[in-house]
Amino acid sequence: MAQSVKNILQGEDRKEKPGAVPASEQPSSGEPQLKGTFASVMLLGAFLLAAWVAVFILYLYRK
Amino acid sequence: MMHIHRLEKIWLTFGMAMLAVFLLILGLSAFTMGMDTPNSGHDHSVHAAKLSETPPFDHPAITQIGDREYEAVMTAWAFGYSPDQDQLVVPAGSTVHFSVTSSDVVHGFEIPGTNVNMMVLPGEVNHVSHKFDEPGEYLILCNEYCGIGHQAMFTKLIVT
Repeated sequence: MAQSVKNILQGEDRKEKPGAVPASEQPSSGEPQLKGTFASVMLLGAFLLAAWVAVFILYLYRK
Repeated sequence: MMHIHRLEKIWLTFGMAMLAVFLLILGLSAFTMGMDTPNSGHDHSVHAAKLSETPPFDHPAITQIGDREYEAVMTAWAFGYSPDQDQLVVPAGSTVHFSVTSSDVVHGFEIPGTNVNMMVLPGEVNHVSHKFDEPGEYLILCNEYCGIGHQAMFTKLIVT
């Protein structure tokens, strides 16, 4: 425990292999990570679809 | 060629398909219900200032035209409808064909809880039909702000 705190304070955990680039800065073959965006877009889409279908069913029900 | 991310392709396809489905369903149902643009054979012009001498609007009334089928010729004015509520009575299960026009400004014609909801324009006759299955009092109200007495503008259809 005391050793790991000391490591953090000294920046030991950040020690990388020589020449390695941190994961967050890697170009990752040019593809951006869009999983979160995809989930958000599909959630919004699901909400729009559900709202539209609900209103259309209400419309048919009142016909 | 432009590169698009695989996930982006999926959501773009999904979004465009959803839009296409919405528009197709609305377009097809409007077409099959006979809805059309105002200038394509649906010309129902009247002179708004001469309604009192233009049949049938000189005598707004509800008349039976068939078995459980009624025609309601109505005028909207600031701030009410003709004929008034004590005259609009039909038995349950009746289909009422409303023909409504305005003698002054733009009014609304809405029956809450049903799909009846249209504008009433001076100079045009607008039509809507509805089958009233459940007995009760159906509120007919103006939902276009038409002036200082707008909030008091309503009538009722009694379904017995």
